[in-house]
Amino acid sequence: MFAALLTLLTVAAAAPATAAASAPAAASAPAAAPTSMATSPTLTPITPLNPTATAASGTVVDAVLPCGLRVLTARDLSLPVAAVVLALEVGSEDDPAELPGLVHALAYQLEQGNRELRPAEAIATAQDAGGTYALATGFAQIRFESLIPASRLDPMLWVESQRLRNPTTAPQRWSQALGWAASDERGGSRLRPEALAFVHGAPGLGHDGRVAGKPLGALNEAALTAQLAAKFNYAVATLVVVGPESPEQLLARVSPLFADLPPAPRRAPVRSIGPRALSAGPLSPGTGSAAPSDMSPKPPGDLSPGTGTPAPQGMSSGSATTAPLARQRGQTFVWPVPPNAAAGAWATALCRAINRQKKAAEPEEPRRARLTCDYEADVRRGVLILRPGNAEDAQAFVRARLARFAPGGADAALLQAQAAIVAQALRLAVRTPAGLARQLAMSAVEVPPVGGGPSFQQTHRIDELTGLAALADPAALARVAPGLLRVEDAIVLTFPEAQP
Amino acid sequence: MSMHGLARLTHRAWLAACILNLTLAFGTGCRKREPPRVEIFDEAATPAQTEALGSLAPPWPAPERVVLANGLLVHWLHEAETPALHLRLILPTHALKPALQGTAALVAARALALELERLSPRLAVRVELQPGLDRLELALHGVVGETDAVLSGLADALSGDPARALAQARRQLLTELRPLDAEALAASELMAILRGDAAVRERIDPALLQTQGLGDSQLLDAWKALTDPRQALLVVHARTRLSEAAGTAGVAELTERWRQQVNLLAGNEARSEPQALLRLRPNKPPPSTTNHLTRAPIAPLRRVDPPGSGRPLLVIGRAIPTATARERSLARLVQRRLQEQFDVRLGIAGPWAALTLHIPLAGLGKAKPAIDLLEGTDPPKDAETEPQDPLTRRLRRELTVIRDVLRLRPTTQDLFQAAQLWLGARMVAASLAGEDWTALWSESLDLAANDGDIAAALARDAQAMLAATPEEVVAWQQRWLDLKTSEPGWAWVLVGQEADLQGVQGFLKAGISFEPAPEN
Repeated sequence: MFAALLTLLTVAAAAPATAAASAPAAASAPAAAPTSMATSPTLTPITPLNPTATAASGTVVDAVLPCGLRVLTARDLSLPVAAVVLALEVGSEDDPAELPGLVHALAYQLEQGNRELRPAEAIATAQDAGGTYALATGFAQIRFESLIPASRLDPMLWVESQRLRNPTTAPQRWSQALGWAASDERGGSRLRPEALAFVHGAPGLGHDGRVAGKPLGALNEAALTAQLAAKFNYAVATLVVVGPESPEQLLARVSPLFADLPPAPRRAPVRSIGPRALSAGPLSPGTGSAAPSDMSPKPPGDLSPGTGTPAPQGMSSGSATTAPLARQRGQTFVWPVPPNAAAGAWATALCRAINRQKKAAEPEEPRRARLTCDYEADVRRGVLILRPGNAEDAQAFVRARLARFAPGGADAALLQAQAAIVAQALRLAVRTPAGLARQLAMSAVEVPPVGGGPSFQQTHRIDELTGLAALADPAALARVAPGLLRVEDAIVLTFPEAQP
Repeated sequence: MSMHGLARLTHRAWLAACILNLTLAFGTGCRKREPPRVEIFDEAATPAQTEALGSLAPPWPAPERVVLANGLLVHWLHEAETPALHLRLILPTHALKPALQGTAALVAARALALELERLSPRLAVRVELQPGLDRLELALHGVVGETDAVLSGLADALSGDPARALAQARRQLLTELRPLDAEALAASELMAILRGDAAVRERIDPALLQTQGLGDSQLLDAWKALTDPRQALLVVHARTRLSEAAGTAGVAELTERWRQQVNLLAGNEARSEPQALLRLRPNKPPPSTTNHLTRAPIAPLRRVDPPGSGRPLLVIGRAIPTATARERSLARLVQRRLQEQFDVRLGIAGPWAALTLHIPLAGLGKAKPAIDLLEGTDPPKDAETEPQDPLTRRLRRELTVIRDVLRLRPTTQDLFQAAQLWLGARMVAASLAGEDWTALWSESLDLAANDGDIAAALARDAQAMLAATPEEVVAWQQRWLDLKTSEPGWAWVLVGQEADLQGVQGFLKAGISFEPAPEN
């Protein structure tokens, strides 16, 4: 037995050190070298806990620094580890029309360092101390996530405070970043890009955000500098820190690192559900990968085409909006999920409940009729997809099924049970610093209230930001994700001939 | 004794038996059961929260412990506000009969894991089976609201008939286990030498399952012996305290329904060992060998037939005392440094540890002939410097590198970084795995010298590791690892053909030789 264990020991010991950097192996190669201590601050011991300065358990301090950076800090005392997540509210949705895949590739370019950081220093800072590091890119958010020993918190915070300052634009670094981007996995969405763009009312979603084509390779240094400056700055970023110290102490560690940046207003876009009806019409039939014709270049500040535009009045007036789509089989009902953690949690619960619904007896429901649900989770651009089968009147069938979840309906208890299961899973997920930090980064983009101004600070309960509080309230579904139970608010993707 | 006397004695014995039966039937039924006595586990003070966090160790408070009426020892770690529940059932294997160790014990543990997995449709639990030093561990991860139900489920699994699960476990392991490879053969042989034991006890051999070498009755015996509550340790990490949970139905069921099945004699529960380390570790430390590698008495090089046509493998190892935190941390630091160059493994079991170096002997290829750079031609061949065969060239090179590394004095920064990486990775891995304190507690069991040390062992070791100096490391290396001057306790094993053995022995005949230092 001892011998068998010895065989395992090497693997087990090596595992944490070689874990989850999403950046390719080439990026982590420099990480093996000792971290340069010339420019980084030295390791700092954990400051003693001061009970008087400690916020109540389960609270998050939410602050906006003068440079426009939003900081969320929370405490986790279970183990001496800390999680740091820099979330940028920019994604492939914000690619210029002529440069698809730009933001995804630029995210890798941010690993290449600048005047202060050597290439891959962020990765090395985490991994040289036994931590893990990951890069996550999406439609509307990019996250740099690290989980580190608590004693390594200051160096990691320092790295994040330097990352966006004049990233390098050296051509060889850019071509390397493009290589990494090209070898990344493609998205496995069940919806085609043009359908997703239509559902969210965001034309920027209508292309493959992970393509790394020739136009990107042709960017010169000046253009690259301009794009980096336009897309990435701390005014669209959120820094989430979860560690064994109080939220106030963590904030006190973060604030001085950004004090030298010029004041700037917060500019993170609120990704509201867009004006679907305004762009209703045939969706580029037959050209699945083509970008929609209305995807035009936008000024750097205008990151969200649907921001702030209210949904048309007619959208909830009887029948769902229908969108003909080439090569579409049957009818698919799609709802955009609002960009906050509570809506995502409820969408998960709803989907689980739909997939567990029992069939109604005939003639209420045809014997062979079925309904399947998929929830494609994305921080800002999630969609709930329902596929009815073997039903003559699909809309009536879906409407009847959803009606059973209404308060007092036949399946209201089923929905509550699934909400409880999702809440339990969420509670376990946010138990660890890494899980809590990721969940906080997914919380809604909040604009400081009028008069809040720079240096605005408030506190939240963790339950509120992670969606747990909403899940506990049966009435919250209609509040946080209005329309998810209404067929009238769905987009129905259908083959052109089937359009009524 | 006359027949009359015998009859009278028999009559008395019969009367006594009747009274005893009546007492058992009614007396115990009416007796009020005493709740188990819960103790706070604070012989040695646990490090303060700040101190623990600062030294990259878990900040757990002093745990509670109890020996239940069935002999089960429970260590209970309380964490306020945790939504998760973690149970770790630690089943020692060192006390099993030789025939029940290794594969048989693994089948029994796997069967228990399968029984526990059957809880998952009604309870939110996940089961893991993990090997440890001289033990097998079953971890159950659940949610805090189901603590009582999970404990009841554990009682169900341990009190039921295991025949079906044993058969299923055997089938699953047959498909999962790979045949023993050279690594496993060498490591088990070496550990058997170091421990003065039989190699078969160190192996998990699927061949035993294939050839029906393990009968159903033997597996059942292994189950009974392995799941004896008087030998086991249950570690719990939960939101509640043991003093609150001790009176619950879950603990009561665990106590009442999980009973030992090996020894049916009554009255032995009171003698259940309350010390965890005495349960988990062999009574006596392994007899270390008195052999050296380069001077008399030289350790005999043992050969093991290779499992296939792979390259030969040499495994060199030794036993090292690790009774104190300083010794343990130095052993770990040196292993981490050597690991940068070779495959070096260290298993610590409290007061002693086994360190092994794994050196593949082939694969060097043909030596590249030297070229005269000025003339561009091959220099004339010298009969005396004719390259040796690849097998011994590789061995000589590896031994030279080992010698050179051991002679190097590490810098303070090197040591600090190695310590930070090891300690940090341990905590980060534990966090990613769901912050299960029972896993860290299990690690702490391997580091502690006695039960009072368990809670503080991770912190003490971490502090000792961060405080190690280059001089200490050099002195430790010379004492335990230097190939020429170290203390006795070495052993080595070659997995290869007879010709490989003769090649290595021929190379070693005149003592270990090293490559000359490169000319500047």
